Formats: sequence, structure tokens, C-alpha cells
Amino acid sequence: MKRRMITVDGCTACAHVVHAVNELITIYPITPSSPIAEICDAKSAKGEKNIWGTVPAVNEMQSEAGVAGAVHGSLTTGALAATVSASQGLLLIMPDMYKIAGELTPTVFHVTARALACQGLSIFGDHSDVMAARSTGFGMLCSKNVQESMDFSLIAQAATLESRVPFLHFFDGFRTSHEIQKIEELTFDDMRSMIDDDLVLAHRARGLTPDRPAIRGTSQNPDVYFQGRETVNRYYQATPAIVQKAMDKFGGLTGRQYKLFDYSGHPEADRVIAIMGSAGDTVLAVINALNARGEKLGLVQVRLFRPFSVEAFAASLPASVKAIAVLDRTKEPGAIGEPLYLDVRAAIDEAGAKGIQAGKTPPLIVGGRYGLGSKDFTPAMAKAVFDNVRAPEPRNHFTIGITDDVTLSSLPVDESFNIESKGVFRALFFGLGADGTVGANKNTIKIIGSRTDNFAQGYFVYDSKKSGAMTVSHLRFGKETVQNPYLLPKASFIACHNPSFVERIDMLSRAEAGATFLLTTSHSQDKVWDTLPAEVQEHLISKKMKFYIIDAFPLAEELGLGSRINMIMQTAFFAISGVIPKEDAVAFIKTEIEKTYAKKGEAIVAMNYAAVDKALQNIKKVSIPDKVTSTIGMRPPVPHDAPEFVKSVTAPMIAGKGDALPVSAIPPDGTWPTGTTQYEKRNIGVHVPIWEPDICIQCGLCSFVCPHATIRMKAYDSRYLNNAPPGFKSVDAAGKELKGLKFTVQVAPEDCTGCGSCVYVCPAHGKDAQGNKLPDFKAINMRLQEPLRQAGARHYAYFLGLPETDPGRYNVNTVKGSQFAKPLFEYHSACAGCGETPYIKLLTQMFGDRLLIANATGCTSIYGGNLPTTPYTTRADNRGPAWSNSLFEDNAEFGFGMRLTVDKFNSQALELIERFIGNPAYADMGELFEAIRTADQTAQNGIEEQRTRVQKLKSRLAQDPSSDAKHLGSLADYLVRISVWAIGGDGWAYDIGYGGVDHVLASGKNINLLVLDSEVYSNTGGQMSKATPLAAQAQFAAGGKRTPKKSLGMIMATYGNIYVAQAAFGANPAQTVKAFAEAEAYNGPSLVIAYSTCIAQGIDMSKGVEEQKRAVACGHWPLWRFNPALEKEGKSPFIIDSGEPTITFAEYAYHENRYRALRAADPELAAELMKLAEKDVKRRWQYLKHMAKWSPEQEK
Amino acid sequence: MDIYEYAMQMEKDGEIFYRELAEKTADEGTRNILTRLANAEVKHYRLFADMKKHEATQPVDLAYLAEIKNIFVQMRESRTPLPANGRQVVLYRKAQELEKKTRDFYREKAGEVDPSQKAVFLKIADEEQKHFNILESIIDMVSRPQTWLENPEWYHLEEY
Repeated sequence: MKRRMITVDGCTACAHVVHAVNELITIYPITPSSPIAEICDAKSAKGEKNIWGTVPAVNEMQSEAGVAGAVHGSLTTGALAATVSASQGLLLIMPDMYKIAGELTPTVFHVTARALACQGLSIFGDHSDVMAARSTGFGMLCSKNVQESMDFSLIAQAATLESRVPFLHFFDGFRTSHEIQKIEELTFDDMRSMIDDDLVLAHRARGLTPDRPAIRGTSQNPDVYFQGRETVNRYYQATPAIVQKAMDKFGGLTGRQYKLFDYSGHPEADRVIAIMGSAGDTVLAVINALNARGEKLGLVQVRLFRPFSVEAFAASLPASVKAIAVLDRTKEPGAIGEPLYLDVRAAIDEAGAKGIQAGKTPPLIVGGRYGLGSKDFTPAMAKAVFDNVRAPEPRNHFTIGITDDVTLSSLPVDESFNIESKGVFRALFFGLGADGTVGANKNTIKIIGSRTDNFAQGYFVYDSKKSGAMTVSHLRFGKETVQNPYLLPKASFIACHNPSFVERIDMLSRAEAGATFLLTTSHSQDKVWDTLPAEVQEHLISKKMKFYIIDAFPLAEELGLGSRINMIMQTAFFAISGVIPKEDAVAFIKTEIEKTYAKKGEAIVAMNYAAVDKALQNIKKVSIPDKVTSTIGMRPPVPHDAPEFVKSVTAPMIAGKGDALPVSAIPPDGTWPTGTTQYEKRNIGVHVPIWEPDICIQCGLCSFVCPHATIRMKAYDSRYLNNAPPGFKSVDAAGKELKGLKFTVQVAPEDCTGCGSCVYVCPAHGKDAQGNKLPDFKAINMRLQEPLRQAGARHYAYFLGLPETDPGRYNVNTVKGSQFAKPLFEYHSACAGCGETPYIKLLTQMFGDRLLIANATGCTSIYGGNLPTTPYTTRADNRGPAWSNSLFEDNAEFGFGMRLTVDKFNSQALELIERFIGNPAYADMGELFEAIRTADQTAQNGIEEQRTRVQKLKSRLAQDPSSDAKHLGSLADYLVRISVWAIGGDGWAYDIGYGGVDHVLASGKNINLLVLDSEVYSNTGGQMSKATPLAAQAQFAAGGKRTPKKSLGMIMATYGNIYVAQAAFGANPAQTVKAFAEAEAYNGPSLVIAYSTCIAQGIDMSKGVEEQKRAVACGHWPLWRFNPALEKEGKSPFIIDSGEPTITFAEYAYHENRYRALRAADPELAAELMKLAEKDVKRRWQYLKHMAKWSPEQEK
Repeated sequence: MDIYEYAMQMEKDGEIFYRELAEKTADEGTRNILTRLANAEVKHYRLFADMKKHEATQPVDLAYLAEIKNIFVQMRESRTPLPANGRQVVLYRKAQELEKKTRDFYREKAGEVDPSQKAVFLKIADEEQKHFNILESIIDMVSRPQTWLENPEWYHLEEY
């Protein structure tokens, strides 16, 4: 069978083989490996079969630990089973890996190698995870590019079956897993040729079965354990040869010949780099360039890291080698060196001892670290490594790619070194996270890769923000294979798909001389020049660039495409770049449109055709003057009055220049200042809300629902208006408590994302002259931000300077009252309209001054702690939430540990006070001690009073040099109530962290858990969790979820001593406030499960409130509270806060894409599942009512 | 008058409704969408005319169709029948709601008319369902910028 050329990423390439050569694929989502699993799931959902003609079963587990057990179970019973993973996920699998290897069980685990969370989490690529697994007994095979990620998946499978040694096949997370390349696809015949069926049958025959009973997993004693451990030696000894045999066979089939250690470069090289993974291609490109200039350089690309073959390694080296630089993409603090370096040193030593060394004298060997957390590894860095080993005193244990000004480990790099070849077209695209730029570029690569004989490469860089995120697409096209796994240093085409970038991103510094710049802008051909910052003008002139504009957004609007500009911009690229003839490009685009959209209808195809034609008609070339005329400059990333740390560290990160920060600038222990989002004015809201004081009824709902804390309200004395800037709005405060005060609702226009939730929820309408309600004019309305920005920013700054509303004049435990309290969680990067963050914001308004937060990994941890800026902030007295993220799976326990500390410190402080009570020197403090010990801290004023007492105590203790005084001084703050909340999503609470959630809630300790239930793994792209409702589509539930949602709250209520509430702020904000207040007040464990609308549900995020109302109205999400305190009072602890269902489940569900998508794909199945879901909702509702009927009175 | 004639009249009413709105709106994009919706109604009219030509049907009681006419009449009389400004997807959704109402009307009435007429009512309902589905696809496409997340942790198997 002829092989196809395909243009795919590493995950797709790997999945092609994984799905074809396994029977069971058992997974748990973790970036960046999830796509492999998702592709396999999609293949199975479509009925695609493996090479033996059966559809592999794909199963999602509750955690990687679950995966490990399940895969082990499948393997030990003889199935061909595999998994994919990365990072701390792989670490969770490791305990079973020892077992699987110890039992000589063939399998391949495919790993998209990723950094481990250490001082901070990184989703990006390095080898820290796989290197942690190097002692498990798994063979380790590393591929370096997209083609190899497919090839080695198969070679590993063939080798494991023959050797019985399980394999870990890995490649670089993101750099390979997500890079798009044109590659040759292996056929099923190739796979059948490589996989020996007899070995498959042998594996199956070894499987445990009652028909041939045997026992594994015995408990072994000192007499035999050691010998048992040595039984596997001969299998490992045979493995390198088996792998090479598989590689040779594969080479014969495909023409791609691999070796365990592949040597490239000069046959008489004096300097050699040994490396694993994608960076090998970078090194090779440098070697080719420098050897052409007369250097003698070489590369050993390490393929098989375990079992490490000393013989094969020695044989790979040329006899001429004088120095070897070993590059590790991992860090092992405290070790003599990193793993590959240590192995190479040992290998050279052993080769010498065996007399099989390459040259007469052992080479110099140095090791260094590079590329941690996807730090780009460039040709200039590779050259610096070669230069180092030529130096008189080469540096060992070096780092490359950073400036280490603390321990001086880093090598100097000549950034001007450039080997980009001339025959390659290079293009950079700057887009917004939701505008389709990445999709359009993937399509462009597909077109060029599939319709021309060009090779193509695409790599996409994202920031981690979920609203207003910037994407940068790096594209290369050329007649030769493009193997440059590093970012584009320069480009001949640069496109800016969002006009707001021009003033804040230095895009054109990466333009080559004579490059083309395409900008989407609302300014005309003759006006646009004057709108550009001077820096941009300077680049355009000095580099003699060509400049084109297109006003894409109105064109899209005109075509009825809303703000969907991707097709317009893609066409514009082809029209002006000349990468392929324009006519061909247009024909290809239209063919792709037909192919992609034909099944969706003629109208869709026609609209996209129209976008292509419209783009062609509206591209304008702008003539470039010969002088810079602009009086405006690029906007500074942070204001001039920002704190020093923000200016020196945060600002470069915001500006995309964080790579240049030296080690000394970075906090050494992962501790960063809070409250820094306030300095990053993102200006991403095209439209922002504007308040109409005369219509406003001062309910506070707009502020309550605002996900980003960009709508605030205050009541204050009228004298503060004396110096208010022009246009600052105010009105008399409503309500008797606020009588005599002025009231303002103020929007932060530069921080607002423009989601529109506030407008949607606003209940107050304007009226016309006849008194008729104006449906489109409320007390708050969306208006274009740009013309209002400056004045709005002035008003907001003034507003922030107003005193906080007197807490004595509002009740924070009400909807309106809570909104007078300053939110201590603001301007984060969650999606516009996020349904989770209003809960967190509320939490900080109600208890923020005493809040200790344990945050599970997930969306909440990303927008909660994603650098460069941090959203948790402080009150005026610098008190505010202290926050940390440990892992995904351990968050309840993490919070539990915090609670233990707080309780212990509190009791220790009280014990110390006991000692001081008897101390004559403190006789005058008796009253204070008593007041501290017996303080009522159930309300905010009690807490503030206790703080005053503690401050008095600390002042006195500061004068006492005794040990007890020092200890009490350091513990005294714990005499003030501290509130511990563990926060996370449903993936944490229902799945991976469920055991911990259960244990911690069962502990009886005073800890609170807030579960933001979006019914899906939101952060990683929408995978099914046990919170996903029946009938909803999700990743790993492509055909709709067939099982009901877990009733987490009901399960926990069965303990009887746990406060549980189910809330939905959009349906009943007062009930949410009440639930939070009761949970906090309850002196024991509490659990609040909060319905959270999410972009992954496929809803209009501006109407999340409406969706919450529907979820409650149909009975899917009844509002209830279980309060054990009521039972003690003889009342029913169960209180249902919502009424009988008034709409059907379908009426709710079909407002959401997660249900609609299944209806569109398979209406009959959708209808059947909808019936089951309806039945399930009714069952739950009846059960809930049944539970609520019970009361302790009945027992009497 | 038979059911097809009623259906044709409905499409005619729809066409007039959208064209009147298109004439009133100053926004070019909105006008284009409304014109496209009006043109779609013309296509539907022709479809039903074609069906009528090829399939004999019995006259039915006018009362069955009164309600559906009222939908458009009410919309035309309403001061703000469809959002003339704001997000275009809202406009598509409103149009889709009308298709849904029309479909539901035919389905509901199919259960009330003489059994000999039932199949025809259901056939027309099926056609309205197709119109509904086309609008669903357009809504999905146009709302991508609001529902799509391009993020390192989000992997899209479907097209943008």
C-alpha cells in the first residue's frame, strides 16, 4: 500500500499507531498528552479498527493512579494495553510501572515529555518527568520530531513484544507533540509487518485466566526477593539488540533507518554534542552550517536511553572525538550531574575499561541543562555549547538559554548567529485566542502541505490567559524538509490580526529586511500611518517593508459572519505573501471550504466563499513615508507608579521579554507578590458597561455577577464628590442604612473583558416618554470602550481612592451588602463571562481578610496564579487571601494540612497565654488575655476587635526578650480566626481528588471545600468527569455520556456532620451568599458545590445567569442546603431552596452545545439519552424531597 | 386551500417580514442577514409549491393554521421584533426560534388533523427542521469567536 504524505502534529502521528496496535487504551487527561487520547477516543467513536480488525476500547479513569492500576490489570490478563501521560501524571503511574516491568509485561506508554511542577507549575516541555521514571525498568525510547513520533511508536511496540521489557516512548511536549509537520504516514501493512502476531499471542497466553491459574504479585521475603529481582537481567541485556533489529526492519520497510545512538556530522569530528529529543535537529542544523565553514562537529542523537547500551554508544562516536558536551533537558538538584551526562560519563569510562572506546584517549566530557519548561533552544545556543568545549577551560554543569547571574552557570550566547536558510518562507501571525488565527494557520499549512510539493512546519505559542490571550503562529514552508524546532527569529511576513497589539507588542522587531506587514485596522489607507506608534513606523521605514491593511471585522459583519475573521485573514495572507500563486491559493482555499463545510450546508459554504472574495477586494497597500512622523509611542506594560518588583520583573514578562530576566530577578522559592493584576491594563473589552444612575435600583447584581471584579460599588459621604473628575457619576444612596450617602457603580474600563453578564442580569430598564419599558436600555449598557477609555480610567482611579463603605452600614451576608466589600480577587485571566469566578470573588468579599486558600490544579489555579500577574489582592491594611496550589489530586489534603497548622498554632498561642497569665510581669494584661481567650469571632466586627487586642499583645511582647514572648509574638496572629478553604473544579472533587475530599470532610475539622462544578474538565479542554451529566457530549464521551452525574453533595450529606450546600448564583444569589455564610460559620467541615457555567459547555457566556436559572428550573441543579446544626435544634437538616421543576430537562439542555452537538450528529441517540436524563432528573428530585421530609422530630 | 398553500403563505409572510426589517435597518451586515433569511423563505416557498404540484392533498380547516400566521403578524406588529443592533448571532437565534415555532406548529397539528393529512404535516415539519438545522450550523460558525478558546491546554479536533 502506498504511503500518504500527511500534515499533522506529533500527537496525531503518535495516535495513529497507538490506536492501531492496541486493544485497550486507558487514559486520564493531562497536557500535553491529552490530544493523543482524544484522537484515539474519536477514532473508536467512529468505529475505526486496529490492525487486527477490532475497535480498541478507550476508557477514561479518575486519575493517572487509576490508569496505572487499570492498565496493569489489562496487561496482566493478556490484553494489548497502553496509556499516554506526562508530568506529575506520569509520576502517579510510576508505582505500577515498577510492577509492570518487574513482571516483564510488554506495553508502550507514550509520554509527551513535560516539566514537573516544582517551584511553580509548568505545562510546557522538558524531560523532568521521563527522567524521574528512568529507574522503573521501562525501556526508554525518545523520538525527536513528528515523523519519529509515529515511527518510534511502532518500533517501541515491536520491541516490547519481543523483549518483554515495557517501553516508555517519549517526545518533547508541545515542541513535537503540537508542532505540525508534513510526514509520511505508516500504513496498517507496515504495522502488520513490524508486529509479530506470535508475540502478541504469546503475551495473551501469559495472561492470567482461571483456565490456566497462576499467581502474581506475591509477597517475597529476604530469602528470594533479591534473586527474583535479578531474574530480569537477561531480558534487559537482550533489549538493545532487539530494538536495533526492529529499527533495521523498519528501515528496510520505509527507508528511514534509525540507530540506538544516531551519529550525524563530520566523520572526523573533534567536538560532539550528545542529546535527546527535538533539540537534536537544532544541533544538526548548526553542525551542517558550521561544518560547511570548515568545522568538525558531530551529534549523537540518543534514541534508546534505557537500557543504555555502552557498546552502541561507544560505536556511535567517531575516533577523532576530543570533547563531548552532553545536554540534558531536565534538572536534578544536588546530583553530580543530570542523567544523560552521568550515563555518558559512565559509558565512556566503561567503554575504556572494556577496550571499546572510540579514540585512543578519553574525550573531555561536560554536561549542561537547556530548554526547561519549553525554553526555546536556538541555533545560537547550540553554537555556544560547541564553543564552550573548545575553550581553554570548558565550563561543566553549565546552563544555556538563560542568564544565571547568581551561580554563574550560564554560557554566553551570540544572539546574532543565524542559520535560517534562504529557500524557506517564514511567517509570523499575531492573533487573539478566540479569533481563529491558529485554526486558519493550521488550514494554511494543510493546504500548502497537501496541495503543493512544499514541506511545511507550524508551531503555535500561546499565553495561558483564557480571555484576551495572544497567540503567535510560527510558520515555515520550503522545498526541503523543514526541521527547525525552534521559534522564528525573523520572518518575511508578519500579520497582526488584532489592532490592539500594535501599541503593546513589538511585532516588527522580528521582521526581516523587505518583509511584509499585514494589519487589520479600522483606519483607512491614508490615515493608518498616523495611528502607528513611532517604533512601528521606524521598523517599516528602516527595514524597507511592504505594508498592507484590511479592515476585517466590518467585512465579516457585512457578510453576516459576526466577528469571525479567520477566512478573511487567511485569504489576505495568500493574496499578498506570494507563498504560492494567488489564483492557485484561492482555488485551494475554496476546495478546502467545500470539503470542510459541505456537510453543514450550502449556506455555510457560500458565506465562506464570500469571505474569500471580499478579502481579495479589500486588501489595501499603504505607501510608507520616508520619515517617522508619529508622536505616540508603544504603551508601557505597567504604569510608572507601579511597585519596583512589578516594574523590573512583571513588566518585562507582560511585554513578552521574560526570557531576558536573569536568575537573580526570580524569587528563589516560588513565592510571588499578590495583587499585581491591577498593573496589567489589558484593554481587551471592545465594549464595556456604562452605568446609568437615574435608572439604577442599586440592587448590586451587576457587581455580584461580574466575573472579573471590574464593576464595583461604594456608598460614601457627599463631600468626596467635591474633587471628583468631570463626568464622575453618583446618585443618592438608596435604603435606610445608607441614608445621606452618595452611591456610585463604577466600571474599570481597562480591566473589563466586555462579557456583558452585568447588562444581562440588570433588572432595571429605562422608560420612554410614555413610560413604556425600553428593552434595550438598562441601568447598565454596553458601549464601545475605545472612546470612553481615558475618562473611564480617570473615574475608576478616583473611585478606588474613595473610602471603603462603612461596614457598619451594610450586612455583608446579603447580596447587596456583599458588593460593598472590596473584592480581593480581581482582573484575572479567566474567560470573559466565566461562571466560576463570581463565587471566588464573593468568597474574598465575605472572608478575604482571613482567607487561606488551597487551590487544586485546574482553571481556578491557572487564573488564580498564572504569571505574570496575580489576581488575589489585599485590603488597605494589607490583609488578604494567602493562596497556594499543590497538585490536582491532593488539594483537600493540602487544605487540611493548612487547617492543622492554623489549629495547632492557635492552640500553641493559647497555651503560651496560659503561661503569661501566671507571669507577674504581665499582671496588668489579665483583662486583655481573658478578652483574647473568650473573644466572639463569629462576625466581622468581632474579628476586627480581636485583631486590635492581638496587636496590643504583640506590641507588649516585642519589648520582652524571652523565648516565650518571641514564640507568642510569632503565633499571636493565629488567635484571630483564619478561614481555610480548599477550592477546585469537579475534576478534582469528583474524580482525581475524591478520596481526599471524602477523607478531609470526614475528619470533622473546620475546613471548607468549594467545588466549582462546570461538569467537565474545563482547563484541559472539556474532558468528561463524573460530574458530567447524562446525555452531554464531552471529550471521552463523544457519543454522549451514558451514566448519570454523581451526587457528590448527597453522598457527603450521608455523614450527617458535614455542612453541604448546592448553589447557583445566577438562579438565586441570596441562597449562594447564605450558603457561604453558613459554611463559614459551621464549626466543622463544609462543602459548597457551585454550579459554574463554562465555555466548554458551549453556551453564550454573557447569558450564563440565564443558563443557571434553567439548570435549576428543570431540576437538574436543585438548590439545597444540609445543615447539621439544624438537626441539633430538632429541625430537618435538609432545606430545599428551589421549587418543583417548571421546565423539562431538554428545554434546559438544548441551549447548550454539549447537548445540541449530539442531537445534530445522532438525533435518535440524543433523544434516547435525553429521555434517560429526564428520568434521572426526576428521580433525583423525588429523592431530594424524600430526604428533606425527614426530621429528628419523627424519631420521637 | 390545502396545507401546502398554508405553508406557502407562511413562507411568504416570513419573506415579507424579513424584507421589511431589512429595509428598516441601517446596518449593512444586519440587512444582509435579513435579506438572506428572506431569500431562504423564497426557496422554502418554492419547495412547498413544488411539493404541492406533485402531491394531492385535502383541504383543511383554516383554524389549524391561524396560530402560525399570528407568529409573524405579532412579530411584524412588535416594536422591536428582532434585534437590529448588537451581536449578529442573536439575530440568527431569533430566526431559528421562528423556524422552531413553525416546525412545532406543524408537528402539533399533525396530531390533530385527519390521519390522511398527518404525513403531509409531518413532511412540512421536517422541512422546517432542516431550516432550523441550517441556522444551527450558521450560529455555530458565527459564534465561534465567543465560544472558542485557543489555549495551550485546549486541543480542537473540530474545525474552527
